Amino acid sequence: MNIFQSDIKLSNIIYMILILFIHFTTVNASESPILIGLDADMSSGSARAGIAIERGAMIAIDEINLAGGVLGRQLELKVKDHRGNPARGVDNMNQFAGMDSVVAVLGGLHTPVAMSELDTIHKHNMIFLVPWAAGTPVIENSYKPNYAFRVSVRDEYAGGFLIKKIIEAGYRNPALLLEQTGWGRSNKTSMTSAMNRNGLTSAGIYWFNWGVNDLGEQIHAAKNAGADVLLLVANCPEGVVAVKSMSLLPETERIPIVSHWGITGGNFFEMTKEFAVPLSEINFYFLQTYSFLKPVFSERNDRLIRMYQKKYPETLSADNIFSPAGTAHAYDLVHLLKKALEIAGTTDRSSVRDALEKIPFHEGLLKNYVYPFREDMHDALNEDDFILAKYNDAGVIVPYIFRKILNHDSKF
Amino acid sequence: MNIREDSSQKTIVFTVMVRVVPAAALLLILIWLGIRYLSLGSLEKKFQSTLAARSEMVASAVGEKLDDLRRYTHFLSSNDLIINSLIDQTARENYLPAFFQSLEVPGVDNANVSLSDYRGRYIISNSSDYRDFQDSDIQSEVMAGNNVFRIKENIIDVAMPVFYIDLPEGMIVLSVTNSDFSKLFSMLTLDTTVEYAIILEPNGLIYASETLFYKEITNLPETIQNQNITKSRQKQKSDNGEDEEWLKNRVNVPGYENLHIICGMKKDSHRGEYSRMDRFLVAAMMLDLAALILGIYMSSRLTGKPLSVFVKLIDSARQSRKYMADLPETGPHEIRSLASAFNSLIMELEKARAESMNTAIEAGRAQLSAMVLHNIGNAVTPLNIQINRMDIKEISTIQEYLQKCYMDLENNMNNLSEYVQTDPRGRQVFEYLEELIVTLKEAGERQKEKIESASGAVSYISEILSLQHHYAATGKEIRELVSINSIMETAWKINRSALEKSGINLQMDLQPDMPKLFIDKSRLLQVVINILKNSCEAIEQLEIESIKYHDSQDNLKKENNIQIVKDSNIQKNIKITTLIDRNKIGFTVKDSGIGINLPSLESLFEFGASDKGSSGMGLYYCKMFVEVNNGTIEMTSQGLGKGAVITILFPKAI
Repeated sequence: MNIFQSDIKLSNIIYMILILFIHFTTVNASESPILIGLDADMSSGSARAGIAIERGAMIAIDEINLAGGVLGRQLELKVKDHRGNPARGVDNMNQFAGMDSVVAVLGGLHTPVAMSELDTIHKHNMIFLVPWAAGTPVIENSYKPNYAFRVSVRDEYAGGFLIKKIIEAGYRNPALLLEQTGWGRSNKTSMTSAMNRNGLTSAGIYWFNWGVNDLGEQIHAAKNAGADVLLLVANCPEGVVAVKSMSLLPETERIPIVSHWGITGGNFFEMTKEFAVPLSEINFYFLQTYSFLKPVFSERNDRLIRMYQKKYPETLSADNIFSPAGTAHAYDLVHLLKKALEIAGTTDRSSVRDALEKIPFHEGLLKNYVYPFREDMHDALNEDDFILAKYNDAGVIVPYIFRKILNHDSKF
Repeated sequence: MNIREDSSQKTIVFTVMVRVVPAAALLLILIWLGIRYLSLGSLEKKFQSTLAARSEMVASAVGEKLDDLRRYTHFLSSNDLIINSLIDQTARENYLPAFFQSLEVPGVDNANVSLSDYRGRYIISNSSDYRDFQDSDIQSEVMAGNNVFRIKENIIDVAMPVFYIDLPEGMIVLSVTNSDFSKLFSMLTLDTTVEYAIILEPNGLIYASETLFYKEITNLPETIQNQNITKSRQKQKSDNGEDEEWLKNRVNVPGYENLHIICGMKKDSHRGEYSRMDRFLVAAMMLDLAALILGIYMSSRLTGKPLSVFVKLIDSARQSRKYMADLPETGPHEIRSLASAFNSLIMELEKARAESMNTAIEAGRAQLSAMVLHNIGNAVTPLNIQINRMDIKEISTIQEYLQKCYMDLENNMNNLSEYVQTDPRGRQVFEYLEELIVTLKEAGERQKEKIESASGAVSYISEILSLQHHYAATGKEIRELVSINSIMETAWKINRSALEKSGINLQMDLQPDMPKLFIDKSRLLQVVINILKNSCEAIEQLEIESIKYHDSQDNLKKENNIQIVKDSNIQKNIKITTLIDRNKIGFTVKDSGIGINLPSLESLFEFGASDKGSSGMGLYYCKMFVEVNNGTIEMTSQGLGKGAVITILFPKAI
């Protein structure tokens, strides 16, 4: 056992003692905690995303609780696993709706689940905080008032961002490889729109279902259609299939894959280790919003890393924080919720929902939010907040500049 | 034993046919029956084996059909469109209905396929009238991640979870109702003679391939529950009331613990195979019989033919009197051994015959010698008598008379004239001398006659000796042309004195111009003398018997049922007659002796056959000699006391 590990253990102990001290000295024991629900994929193909969200939310809750809580009450996270299955998500959401103390629910991965839950959410006036579900309709829905708020990627912006990046890299004929879900369809709209705006011609739109085992046919079709780059919208399991199918092509016939961020929701890197061709030899890039390795605000970033390491001592460094966007988004969302609670002065969901639209400013992890949510805009992030990234040889997500000539790829 | 007669009556083939064939045929029939019994069992085993194989095939096919349902359900449960439809409402609404309408469940027309969510809530099905599948047991089982196969109330349900990343997110249920069972299982009919039923324990029959077999099964509900009916045989009545015998076999459907197949086969449907088996067995029987006949033929060829050759060779030897040890020592081992043994036996017999012949010859020679001596004795005795009869006294008396005359004359020398003239005594001297001359002359005549008689006897002796010398056997057979008449006369001469002594009258009736025989005269003479001797003995025997009879004072005596007439004047006749025929020449010797008891005639010429204390070599030797010279010898008699006739004939060619 090395000294660093010993330090971590010692700091953990101190941290726990401190939390307990605060809990027993400052909180009114008679007040029940304010519950925040988490309905995410906690065990399926994108379980890492759910766990990342949970960790980000927990660290934020711990910070808030450490600081005395909200409205004199502690925050508490209730986690439910929808496994990416909308039916489970709806059921989970109904259960959360039945809990009076639940003020909001963090919902993550996947857009189809989120889309399915919207009806229930609005039926029960449940505040729906989205740290990871990029479908534009999740936020741009028809519900008035809209209870969905997102600190995450919006496909509308993601499409523009990705098209912009491939144009910068010199590609002109992208093909779209999309999952046959609301998320895929959302990206089809945004990407097609972006291509149209930028005068690109699509080499085709190719769909696949969840559970697909081979995407070689679609890739062949795209290549035959003249695609010089593949825009992939997939979660981890199907993303692995896409990369595997590409890896089976001869090196000279492979084309780069620029993916939406859904693939980072699972054990993507680990699942590609067994491929005959290493992932590093596949031109594979994906969208991200945050990197603990290249933060915008180092101090905030370092504080969170420290808290993260204290709470999850197996985390040796920032490299070990998986699905960083999920953690960062959830962290910022919980703090935004805290501010809304403070503004509302009540846990009444309608009031809190209204208050969310009235947060004037928040020093978040990703950025300094200025009125992050407005009545007409419940997405706190935009295209400027996105980056492209790549798995390095150790499986760590690192930001990358995407260029057409692979040898000239380089880090920021 | 007469080989010729025995072989003609009981040949090997005959013996085999009589003794071997029935036993072999019986054995063959028993074997045939045994084979038929075993074949029937084998055929039944074959049917049972076939049935077992068919049962396995049907069970396998049923299992395969059900596996098809399971595979199809699994295909659906792992179908990405279905998985995706669990995730995406749009996909569910836009694509899933068409997909479900296009489902084609293998082997089934109207299967119901439904998709439920992870809690069993209906999502979609391929049939508008089958909307929801509500079975909490199955749902909980499936959502625990297990596949479910269930047959309940004539519905087959196959339920499987729709997995996504190792956990069930939905449920596919494929249901087949009994209206589809016929379509599902009817294609399993593999043989028109085999029917089958699918039994689910403990629910009972779920399908039967044929109505009759359905009745068969349903009429025997206990068999459905009875695991021990495997390979049992049940008799049932068909629709027309006839007994039908079913072979049945029960097997488990592989992979489906409670599902069993009962296959049935009507025995009647395989009557043709039984008939074919019978025809085959009959054909095999015929082949066996043919093989048996061939075996008999071959055995007769291998044994009967060589033996026939032997018989012919032996017959030929008998006819030619040439006993040659020349049987071919070829063929099978046993035949070769038999021929070798026979040849050895012939050689030994030939040797023994030669030895006995020599013995007989020696005996004949001794007999001849004895007869010569006897005849010489007979001749010498009268000679001696004649000599003794010579009147020595008469000569002495003459000598005395002459001495007296000489003395008177000498005494009267001085007055010789006076004395002769005057003296009465002197005158008597001249008378006396005159009488003496007459007497001397008469004595001389008598002595001359006696000397002549003695000389005849000496001549007879000399003749006998000469004959004996002429016919003396050298021990070797010397054939030459011989006159039978001459032989007869010689025999008479040799035996004459004996015959005369015995008072036997020998008559000779010799045919003139008799052809000569090419034969050993010495041995032929021995034969004739032997026969004459036997005739003499027979006459003497009759005489003795006659004397005994006379002493008993009986007028008539029966002995051995043979009548002997008492007659003090017994005829002592022997008559020799030479015979000449077209092809044969020979002679007969007829005597008036004791004759022969009829039953004894057969064995008269056998070796050692004699009731007179002799060696019996005589007639045996005669027979051997005659037969060696291709002749025949025959003795006939009217019975005891009635004499006998021996006839010997030789072919002229000799």
